[in-house]
Order: sequence, then structure tokens, then C-alpha cells
Amino acid sequence: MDDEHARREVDERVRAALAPDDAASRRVAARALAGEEVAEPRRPLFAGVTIALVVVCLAAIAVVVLSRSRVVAPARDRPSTLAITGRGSVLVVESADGRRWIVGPPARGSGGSYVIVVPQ
Amino acid sequence: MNRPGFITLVELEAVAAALAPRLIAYVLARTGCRATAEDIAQDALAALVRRWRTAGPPESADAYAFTIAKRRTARAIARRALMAPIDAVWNAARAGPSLEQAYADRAELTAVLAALRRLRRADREAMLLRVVGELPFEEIATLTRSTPAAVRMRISRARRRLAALLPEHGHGRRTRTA
Repeated sequence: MDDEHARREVDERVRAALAPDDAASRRVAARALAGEEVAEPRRPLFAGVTIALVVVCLAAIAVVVLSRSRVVAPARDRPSTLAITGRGSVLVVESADGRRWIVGPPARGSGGSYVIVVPQ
Repeated sequence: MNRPGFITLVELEAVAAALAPRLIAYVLARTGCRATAEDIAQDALAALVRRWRTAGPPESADAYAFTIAKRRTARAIARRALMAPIDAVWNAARAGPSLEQAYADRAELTAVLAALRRLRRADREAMLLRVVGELPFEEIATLTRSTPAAVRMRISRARRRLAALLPEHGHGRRTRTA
């Protein structure tokens, strides 16, 4: 009997603590019967999606900028100005930073036809 | 003149009125938030109403509504966990205590919710569906994918543990009005 009493006591206490107001119950039932759906709380969801999109956009921009900087980087090695002078059949290409390339005619007697480029 | 459709609609209103407080109490116990409890109870009842009007009453209106409420409550809890940081910022931007906070401040509710949270999840679920949802053991077993015997055992264990966890009852007990 004590167990039964304790059981009832616990049940009653849980029910009493959680019981909603009559007005709330009536309101919920009436709205449901009227076919009203509760809209999902979209504002936090919208904020979350917006933040995610901004992060993705920033990441995409960073990737594009980095990849472009990598492509452009070798251009720094190129000489800004080149001076080309001809000495007979030999062309001398000279850059402002002192490097020089000599372009000559193909060697006679050999089977191939090629150009030797010698950076100096 | 006998009008079965009319009788069914009257029945539906009675069922909705009887289910509403039980659904609210069940979701409140799981989420601790009165506004969420009312929203989910309304959604579950609206789904029941739609089903009733389009395809007739389900085999068990209670089981139907509680199945939906249980699923949506789980979703709401997961969403709240995900959105907690944004919600904190959002609520901080709006001054003033919320209605939920005012309700949660009631000592007895807080004590009961705290005690319920210390139960095992399966025990708590079975007990809430029985004590607050007033579902029969068989329906609870179906809802929780268990057996009626296991449900009985869980509820008994939860009651014993709750009796030990709940502090001495003070004055001002609320009585249930249906």
C-alpha cells in the first residue's frame, strides 16, 4: 500500500508540475481544429544559413585570390626590358638585370636543327 | 436524423480538447520550454485533425498524436542544440525576460524537470508517455519500439528513482484541470 501511495504521489506531482493552463490547452486545441500550422522559427535558421553562405563566399574568394597570385608570381622572374642586338647570324638578347641569351643558327653538318639558348 | 460526419467532428473536438493538455505537458517535460510545448502540441493536433478529416479517425488518436509530438520534440531539441549560440545572440539583442523564463522560474516545475532529466532517457520517455500522456502500456511499447513488459519495468524504475530524486513537497501544489 505504501508503494502504491508513493507511486500515486510521484505521478500526481509530475502531472501537477507539468499541467498547462486551461486557456493554453483550449487555445492549442482551437487552433489545431482551425487547421493552423505553427510556422517554424526561421529567423535563427536564416541567420545560420546566411553566416554559412558568407563563410563559403569568403573561402571561395580567398582560393581565387591565392590561385591568381600563384600564376602571376613567375612573371616577377621575367626581365622587364629586353635589348636585342644582331651580330651576323647571331642574336643577342640582353635583359636589364644583366642576363643574356645568345641565339645562333643551326650548326652545319649536323642532322638536327636547333637553337641553343644560354642564359648568362 | 443520424449524421455520422457531424458526430465524427464532435468526437474530433472532444479528442483534441482531451489531448491538448497531455501533449503540452509531455513536450514541456522533454523540452522545458512552454512556448515550444504549445507549438509542437498544436502541430501534432493539427496533423491529427487533417488525418481525421481526410481519411477518418486513426486506430488510436492518442498514439497518432503522441508519435508526431515525440518526433517533432526530438527535432526541436536537436535544432535548439544547433542554434543555441545564435539564439543566445538573438535573445541578448532583445531585452526583457521571456515568458518561458518566467514559467521556468517556478520552483516546483524546475524541481520536477531537474529530477526527470536525471532519469535514463528510455525510462523517462516511458514514464512521461504513461503518467502525462496517459497511454496504455501496449501503445507506449509500440511508440518506443519495446515490449509492454519492458515498458512496465522502466516506468516502475523511473517512479522509484523520481521518488528519491524529488525534494520534499512544499506548499502551493497545482491541481490538474482538464
